[in-house]
Amino acid sequence: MISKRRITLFLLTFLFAFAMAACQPQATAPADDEPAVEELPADDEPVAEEVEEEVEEPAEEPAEEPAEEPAEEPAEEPAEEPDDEEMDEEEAAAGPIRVGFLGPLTGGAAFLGQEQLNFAKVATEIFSEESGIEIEILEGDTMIDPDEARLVTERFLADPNVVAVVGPAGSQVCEAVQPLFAEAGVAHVTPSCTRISLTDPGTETFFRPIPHDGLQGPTVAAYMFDELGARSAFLVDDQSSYAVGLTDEVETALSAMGVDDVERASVTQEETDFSSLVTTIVADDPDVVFFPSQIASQLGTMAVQLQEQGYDGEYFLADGGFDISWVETAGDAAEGTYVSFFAPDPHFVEEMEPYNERYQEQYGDFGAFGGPSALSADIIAHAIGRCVEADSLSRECVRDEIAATDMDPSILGIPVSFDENGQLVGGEFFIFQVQGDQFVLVGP
Amino acid sequence: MSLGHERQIKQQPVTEEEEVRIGVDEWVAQVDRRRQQRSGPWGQFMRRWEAIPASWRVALVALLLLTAPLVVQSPPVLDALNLTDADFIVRTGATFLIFSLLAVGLTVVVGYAGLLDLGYVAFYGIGGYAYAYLASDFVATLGITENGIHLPSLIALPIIIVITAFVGWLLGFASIRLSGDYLAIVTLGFGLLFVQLAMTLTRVDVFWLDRSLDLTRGPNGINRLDDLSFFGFQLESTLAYYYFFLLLVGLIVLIVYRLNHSRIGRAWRALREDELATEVMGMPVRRLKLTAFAMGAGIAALAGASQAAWQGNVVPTRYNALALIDLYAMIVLGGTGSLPGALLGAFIFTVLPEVLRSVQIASIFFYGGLVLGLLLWLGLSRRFLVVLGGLVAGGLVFKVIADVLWPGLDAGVAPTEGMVLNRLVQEWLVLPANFELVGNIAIGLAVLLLLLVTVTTRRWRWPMLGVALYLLIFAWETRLVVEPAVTRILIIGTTLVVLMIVRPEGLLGKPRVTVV
Amino acid sequence: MEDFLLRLPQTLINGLTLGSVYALIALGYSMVYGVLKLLNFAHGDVYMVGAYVGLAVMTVLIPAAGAFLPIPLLIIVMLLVAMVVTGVLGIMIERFAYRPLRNAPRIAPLISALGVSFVLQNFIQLTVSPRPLSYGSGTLIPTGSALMVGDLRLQTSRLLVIGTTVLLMVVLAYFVRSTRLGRAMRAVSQDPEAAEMMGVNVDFVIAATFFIGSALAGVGGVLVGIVFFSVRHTMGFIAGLKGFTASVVGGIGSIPGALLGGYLIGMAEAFASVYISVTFKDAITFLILLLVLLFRPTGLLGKPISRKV
Repeated sequence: MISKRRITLFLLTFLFAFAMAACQPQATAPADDEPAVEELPADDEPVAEEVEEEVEEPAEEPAEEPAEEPAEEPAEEPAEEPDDEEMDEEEAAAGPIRVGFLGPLTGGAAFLGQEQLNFAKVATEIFSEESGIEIEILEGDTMIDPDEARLVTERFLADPNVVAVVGPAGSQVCEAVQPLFAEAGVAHVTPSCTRISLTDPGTETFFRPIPHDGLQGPTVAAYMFDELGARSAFLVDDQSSYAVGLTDEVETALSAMGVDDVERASVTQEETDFSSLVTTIVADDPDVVFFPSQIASQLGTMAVQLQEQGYDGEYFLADGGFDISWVETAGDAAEGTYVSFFAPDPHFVEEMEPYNERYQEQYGDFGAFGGPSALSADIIAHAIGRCVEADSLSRECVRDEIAATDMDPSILGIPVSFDENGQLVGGEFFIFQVQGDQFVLVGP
Repeated sequence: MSLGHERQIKQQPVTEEEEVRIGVDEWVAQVDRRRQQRSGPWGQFMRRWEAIPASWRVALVALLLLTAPLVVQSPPVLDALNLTDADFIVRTGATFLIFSLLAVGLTVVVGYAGLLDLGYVAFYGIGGYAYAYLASDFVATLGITENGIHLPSLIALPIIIVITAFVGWLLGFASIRLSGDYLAIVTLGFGLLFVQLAMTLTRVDVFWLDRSLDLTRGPNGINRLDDLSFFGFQLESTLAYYYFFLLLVGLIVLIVYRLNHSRIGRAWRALREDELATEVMGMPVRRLKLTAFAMGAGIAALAGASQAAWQGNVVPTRYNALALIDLYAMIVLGGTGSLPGALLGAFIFTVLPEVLRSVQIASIFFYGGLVLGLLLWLGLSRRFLVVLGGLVAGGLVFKVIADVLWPGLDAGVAPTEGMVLNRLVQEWLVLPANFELVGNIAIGLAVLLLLLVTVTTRRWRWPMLGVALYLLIFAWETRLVVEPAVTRILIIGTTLVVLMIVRPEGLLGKPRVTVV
Repeated sequence: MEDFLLRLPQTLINGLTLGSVYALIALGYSMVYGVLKLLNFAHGDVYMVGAYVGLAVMTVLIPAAGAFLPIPLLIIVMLLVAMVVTGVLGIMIERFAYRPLRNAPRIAPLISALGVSFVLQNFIQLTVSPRPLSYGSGTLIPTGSALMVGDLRLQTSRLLVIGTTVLLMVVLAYFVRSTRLGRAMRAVSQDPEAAEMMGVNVDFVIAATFFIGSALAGVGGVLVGIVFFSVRHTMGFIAGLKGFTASVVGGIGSIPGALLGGYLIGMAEAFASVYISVTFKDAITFLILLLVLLFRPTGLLGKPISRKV
């Protein structure tokens, strides 16, 4: 019995020590140049101390224990969360400038979110080096789930040091969190929500530095109709909010041009085999197949299977297809594929080069999702920069400065400014064709 | 019953489950009782907790839940935490309550009646979508009404519950011949089918219109649902919903509790323990099963509809297999068949992931868990201190040796600064310049070694444990802290496995003895 | 009708390919269920790990492939390494996540399996890449290489998948029927206690079962990589579900049943998507499952449940 009590006491003291250690302000300038060895003894001391403490304390603690523990158990929610904010609070004095990031960092869409996150980090790092203003990126995993996203958003909003947010990804998620941001007056710049209704009308705090489906759909449809002479089409979506929205727009635009022979199908994002779909497509024999999947390797599989089964029409992709990795793996099956993308190739944009290089160095290969994210982060960073210069850093200031963004060119090479709905002014889609192992600009 | 048995009853307050025992004879009951004498810190804690009278316990928890949002939202607390508002805490609380409701419903089906229903989330979804149909503008797009349907909540909720309970009854009816895992797969199929249909029923041809109908709006889901309103009072804020959910949970828990102690509850338990015997005893097995299905479905629908109203939207992904996994983890973690267990499981599973979002908390969790785990395993013995001390000293020696033999190896640059604790540890570690690859390998090696340590009994397992811990800490500081989102899921996964192994019957569950 | 015939051969091949993969996964489920009466929900992730191991081996050995390592040999090496790694992984999962729970309530191992599944997926995401990776078409088998039977094109990669599966099935059938260990497995699956009393080392048999089942899933992973290229860290979930469905349709616990179920589900998907609707293929598959179970509540080849009184 005694030993158990001792254990319990030990646990309590230990946890307490941990909490204390954790709560110490980190802002007290990390002494990097201190010789490592000098610091070391400090590390094993806490252990020793705690053992001593444990011997001293028995007198006081047993009385508290039974009363406290049951109470703490259900109360954990209010009791524990405060703990973690406590550290943040003490840093507030030093006032780190924080920018939240919302995106899917785990699960099936993690490839997209991780790339966006890392590009946002690269962009703020480079900005920090140029301007000397430190900006910290906070990670918020949404798992592309609106409920989850609302939680993370409110978490960000509750932290007074968060001045703006990059994200989220996924139109249904954007729609869910838009009102929360609007209410709190915090700006968020999304690198990947493209549904038209988000900026029609927008909110004061929503900014989208990329063109929306209402622009891409008709561009794609017009190119199919005019340049490719398509009079029949097979449209496949992958049941993501993005793909369904875009495919709907393409379908609408095509039928407006009088193309009635349009088939629709949808597959899940987890699909690995498209051969049955391709069999259907081949039997239908459309002039063009449109497949706006975000997952590059899927596009490769589909391309190869189309070729294997003797499909002779055109293969048309959007955004996610703008990734050389699938072209490399699909070999000659990729040749001649069309891809629509809203920026000139970010891999070769002069302004993007330092970002690409640093990304490559730190995180490896990348696809097409990072560019807009770096742009979003860069827009926010520059707005923060202007606010800091004017010595009026606040959420309102950052929001106003983002609204006043006028970059020509931006780091993506295209000019960026926002209209009253937070939508990118102008913006156009470019059509590329795979020739050899690169994307060649062919339209519009 | 023997005397000894009665004496034990005096020592330990009688809990509900013990009143009726079916298929368990006296001797087994005693073995069972002895096994229930919980040991270890958790057992100690539980004994203390159970020493408080039941009504007091309930009152205490209720009081805490009632006051919690007010406390966290009070200005002094907010100031102390340097938050502009505590909305996310209240939101976490409301999520916890919704999941409690769902977990209680699942307890009826799985815990009481013993039916492995993996299609449970579909009812949650049906509740949500039904609410979207009955309380938003959405129906207008189907060409049936002008402005959609906006039923008052007091009418809409009962309708939804009844409809969904009927669907549940139907599913039960269709699968009544199946048992165990076959029932599981059919219901699982049903659950997945629901999500699939919600995703894809976007162009359905109907005879009365010449255009196709969009029944679900696909992955975007249906937005702008009405708020719940009762007697002219409309729930708007998350706080209002929090209290409404609290009321619901209280109500449902009360109903389920009463039910479980009525005839039907006893019959369910009999069904769970031995279906054949129950049937032989003349119980209406079929009707019992269907009632359980319908009841679970009804509760899920209530949760689904309230959740949809609170969030203002429904999306198919909310009702996918991940939600199902969470729910099952909740009830199993808490102890299958125990109402407080379901609530505790829901609490852990909604709060823990939120808490782990913060890297600092995750670090405390990691190091705390490391030391606690070691302590629980080895006890507060000399061996524990030797391992811990040996680890610290060994790390230092290793660092010195590394610095002397291979001066370039220790670049000493950590990927993150973190808090004081992290910085101290980073000074202690040998950190090569290219930590990513080494860190990845370290994770794998550490896990392997740790697993080995748990199975071998040789003497060299202690040094091996030290090496494993060193590698684990190295991996933590170089890789895991850098990717908090992934780490969070890794921690949750590991916690699940470890908890299941340590307490297979769940935190508040009772080990059952089966007669062979 | 002409249309129907035109698409028939390709649909059959699609179904057989998919069915082979499902069958390989279903076998693992079925074998484990046979000896332990336990649903190994981490099985899909073992398959995923197999695909990644195959990719790793390929990446390492491909430079040598041109010089002195013929491609067929490379594929065999990939399969073997993946089998060993996933087999060992299976043993480890059993040892650490299931064995401590052998006498626990039936639902407990389900949850620890989920934990294992979370860990495996996120471990791969962390250490390899969150990006979907690709085996690449044409790296192993030239794109478009096919066997022509009359007008019928039989893609080599698909033949490889179907052939390997059938070969493994034959070996497995022989193994279970005629070897000592195989007989021990059957004994354990019928009555573990009696088997133990007859001198069978039950723990060893269970470990062996996990090894074989997981190795088969690993083979499935590599084959999917070869034929469909794309591998992701989340690919195990859906594949695991399909494999589970297949094993239940065939009668869980029965090895020929798993094979039959796998091909049935694969065919159902292929035919449903070609002749009815791609979008609703999963719904149709579910209806088939429901129908089968309505008429045969223990699956096609499953034994009727006998209840002990």
